[in-house]
Amino acid sequence: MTDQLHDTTAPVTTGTAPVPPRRHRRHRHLTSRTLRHVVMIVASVLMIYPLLWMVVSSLRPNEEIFRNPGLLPLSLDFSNYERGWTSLAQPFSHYLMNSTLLVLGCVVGNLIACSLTAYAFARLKFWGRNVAFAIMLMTLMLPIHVVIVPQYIMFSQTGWVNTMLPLILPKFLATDAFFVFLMVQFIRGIPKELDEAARIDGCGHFRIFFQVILPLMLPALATTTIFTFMWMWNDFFGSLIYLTSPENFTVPLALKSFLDTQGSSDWGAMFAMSVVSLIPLFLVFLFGQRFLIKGFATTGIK
Amino acid sequence: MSAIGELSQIVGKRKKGGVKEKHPDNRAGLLFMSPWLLGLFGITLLPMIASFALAFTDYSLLAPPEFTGLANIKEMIGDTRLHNSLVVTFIYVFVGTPLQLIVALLLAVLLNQGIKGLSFYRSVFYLPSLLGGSVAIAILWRQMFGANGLVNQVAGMLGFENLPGWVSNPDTALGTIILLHVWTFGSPMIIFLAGLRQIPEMYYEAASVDGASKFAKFFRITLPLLTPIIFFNVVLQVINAFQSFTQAFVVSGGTGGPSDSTMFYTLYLYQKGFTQFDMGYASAMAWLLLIIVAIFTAINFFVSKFWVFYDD
Amino acid sequence: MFTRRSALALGIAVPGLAGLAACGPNSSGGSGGGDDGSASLRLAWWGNPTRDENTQKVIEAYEEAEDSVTVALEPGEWSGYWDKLATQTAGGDFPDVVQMDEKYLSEYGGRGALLDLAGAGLNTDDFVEGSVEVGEVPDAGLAAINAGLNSLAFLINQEVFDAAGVEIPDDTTWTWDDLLDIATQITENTEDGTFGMTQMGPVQGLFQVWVRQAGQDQYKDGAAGFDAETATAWFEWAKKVQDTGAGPGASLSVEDAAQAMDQSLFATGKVAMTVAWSNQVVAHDGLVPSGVTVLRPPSVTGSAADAQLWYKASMYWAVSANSASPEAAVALVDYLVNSPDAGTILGVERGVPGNMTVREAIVPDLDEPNLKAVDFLESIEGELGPIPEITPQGGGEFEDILTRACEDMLFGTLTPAEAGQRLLDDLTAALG
Repeated sequence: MTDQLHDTTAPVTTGTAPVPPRRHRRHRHLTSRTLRHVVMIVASVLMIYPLLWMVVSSLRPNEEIFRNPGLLPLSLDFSNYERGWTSLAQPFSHYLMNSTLLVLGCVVGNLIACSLTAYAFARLKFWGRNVAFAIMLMTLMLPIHVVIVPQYIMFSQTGWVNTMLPLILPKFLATDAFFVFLMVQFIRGIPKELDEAARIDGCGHFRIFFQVILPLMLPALATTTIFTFMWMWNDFFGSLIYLTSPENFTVPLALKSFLDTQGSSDWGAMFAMSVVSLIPLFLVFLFGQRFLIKGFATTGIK
Repeated sequence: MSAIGELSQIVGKRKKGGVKEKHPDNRAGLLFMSPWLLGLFGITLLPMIASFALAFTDYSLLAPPEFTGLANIKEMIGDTRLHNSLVVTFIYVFVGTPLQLIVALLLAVLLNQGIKGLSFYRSVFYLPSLLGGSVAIAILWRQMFGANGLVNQVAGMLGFENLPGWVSNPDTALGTIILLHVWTFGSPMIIFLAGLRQIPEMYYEAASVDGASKFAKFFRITLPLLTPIIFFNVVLQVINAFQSFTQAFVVSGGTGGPSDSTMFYTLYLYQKGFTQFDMGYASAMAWLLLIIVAIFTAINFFVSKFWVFYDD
Repeated sequence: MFTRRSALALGIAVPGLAGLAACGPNSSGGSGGGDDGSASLRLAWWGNPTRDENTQKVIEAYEEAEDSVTVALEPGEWSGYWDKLATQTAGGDFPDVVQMDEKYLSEYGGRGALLDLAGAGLNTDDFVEGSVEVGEVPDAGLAAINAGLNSLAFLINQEVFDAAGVEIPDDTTWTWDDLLDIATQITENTEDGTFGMTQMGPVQGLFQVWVRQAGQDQYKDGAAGFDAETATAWFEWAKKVQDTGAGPGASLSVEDAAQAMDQSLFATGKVAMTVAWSNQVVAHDGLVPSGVTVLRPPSVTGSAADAQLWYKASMYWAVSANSASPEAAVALVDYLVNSPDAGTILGVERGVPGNMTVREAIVPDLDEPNLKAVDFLESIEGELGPIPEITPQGGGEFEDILTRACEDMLFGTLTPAEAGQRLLDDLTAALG
């Protein structure tokens, strides 16, 4: 496989890929393209239905939400938003703020710590590497429910309970093995010739890491950002255990306070604020996915 | 290209010439690994060891643990609910994971082509994953698959009348959760997409010059170069699926019902640890899970030698 | 991977970890007390936005009256609340004052986590008879004081009765068979998909009524207090509900039980009768357009005097045994349960106050749905059966055990007799 690829002598092209001649096949192309769009649109409706339902529900009075799994008739009652924003101990913006702080801390931590660790695993040859890698994978295999109690006992010794430190600090210490492994796989996909070339130019590991590897793993970094954002934005159990006072609550904890499993819940407000809390998530995704597509294909390595 | 080709020859020679040292990067390794090492010894390892030790105790959380030797393990051998939860989890892992990954890969490949409105579709397909474990989705799911839900209404129009509810039926409840899992294929899809974007364009250009067909390009360039990412997704999705908790928890309201048909292993573990105050037993269960998952991961790594293609 | 020796070494580490938990800086519950009587307390509860707001207001009032005391509020939601409380207990971080449930009272009280309120001098003189004892845990004294009382009640949707042309029965004389007959009649007289009653087989409270009417109870001396025959009879009755069409089929029942209250068959007008705790009357009343009627559960003999009802604490207040300021914590609890001022703010949201002075102070201001609950509770006062034993350790699982046995029976995997036997076996195993 490798040989076949490497032996192919291709002319070095710059700019966009050449457009193949397709005039005589235009008609067939059009129908297949339409077909593809039809498939995509049907699939999209299936995917987007729950979101639409959520938005529509958030605009319905409480007692109508459950009578109607459909999307019509559409009512436009914004009182759920008003109530949701104001009826908890703090205005909802406060919880959005808390979540944002938490998530930003975690994203930065993961980006720095996981990429450094991943470089070591993927490119360096050092004593105990394979054992360390196996241990790292093992840390992924224990359910959180049994490690959280001993971890809580540890953190309660430091007096960090009811702060975000127990949630953020571990990210700066590369405890999120998922992302380390993800980045390892991406780095291993980068042709080694590139760092060898840099090394011959006299670069040390840090320069190789920063100047060669990091720019090339932009898609992996974007993925890490999006996932960390999403997972911490929705994180319930960790926040539940460590954050006790309502001033420190994050969005998932706040959303839960609308509900009472034993009595009456404010479903309308819950849906309304769920929709609101989706917006930052979605924006980050839209923004982040632009970097997803900037891989090798566009960074000019030809 | 030719420069790289020459380079790789030089490198090849250097390798053959033999840098004898087995671990040339020990110092740099320590440096790059230092955050992780700090995290391991400062944060991760102690709770893991504690949970292992607790597996041999009776620990209610509310009072200090008492050493009970192998009592938890003996109890696990005779615990039929635990055996059932293993069966449920295995079904989920071995049906749900392949389905989800195949859907994710197909759509990622489809979305990687120059289709109009690409970023729109990508966002739309990712939406379910953003909503994944939320309460709102649990409610919607129960409603869609309820006796009078949307699914049965559509089935009714197609002539299948009076179907029972899907979520509330022990024979079909697990199926709906697997479906929910497949439906949130966004995360592996994104990882596939990122992997696809990382494949150097030059390979395709070179292949075009050789007159390779689309299929040939896919099977001889895309797929092999994507294998590290496919491998990652397989390993991680299997590990995650074994620990699947949230979806079953929200859809069944934490009960694992009806009749334990959605009682996932970690859900049972959670109930043991937190609602039945038997964290010792939960810890023992967790370590059994770790052993099971480790075995499957080891198999995955072993098999990967035969199909995963690395450039190093 | 781990040798036997290292496993042994780890075994030694466990007591060390426990010791860690007991001697941390937060072992006092993270709160401090000064010599001058000043104290900062932590107060934790589960609830909903209404309760959160009430509680916040009552604490503001308290802080105003007691300058030297500050109270940190820690609200939560039911299931998360218990995960957190257990973790905090393990970490030696138990809040000073907590809201407690009957299900878990002896788990915490029996392990020494809760202060004996009677020993600490909490005044309970004004409490109605039988309402203080429900907080007593063997060897732990008065581990918690009830924050409100409850009883099991039948809720009626008048509109469905009217649509079926059926009269609402006299709840002082109706029997279990009457209930079935009426429900069957309603199902027959209404359109498809509407039923006389919900499937009550998995309702733990009603099961308890059933076994009490058979001269037994849920628990006796920390073990199961009923025999397999009584449980079997219960499941046979539940099967009849399904088979006669009085209630919905297995699948729909399971679906209904998992729904939020707003989505339930009862709230959406699909059944005429359901069963609930009396503090849920208000919520149901708001969901049924014409309001609900509250009835006593039926009896075997056809006499309300034999219905064997009891006052259950809808929830309790408890104080941490390790609180740094136990006096201040008990004083706060005293304010919450004994002060008419606090009562006026809190209303009956946590249940009807057991303290008669407080109850009398707040009843005049109650609206109609709340009055329904209070009236019901007062009307059964003369008919109460013996005070039931509180849920022993491990009994918190009983509801799940009952639900599972009942669902298996309704889906036909178990016969009623098998379900009855399994219920008893599983409960016995859980109580260990």
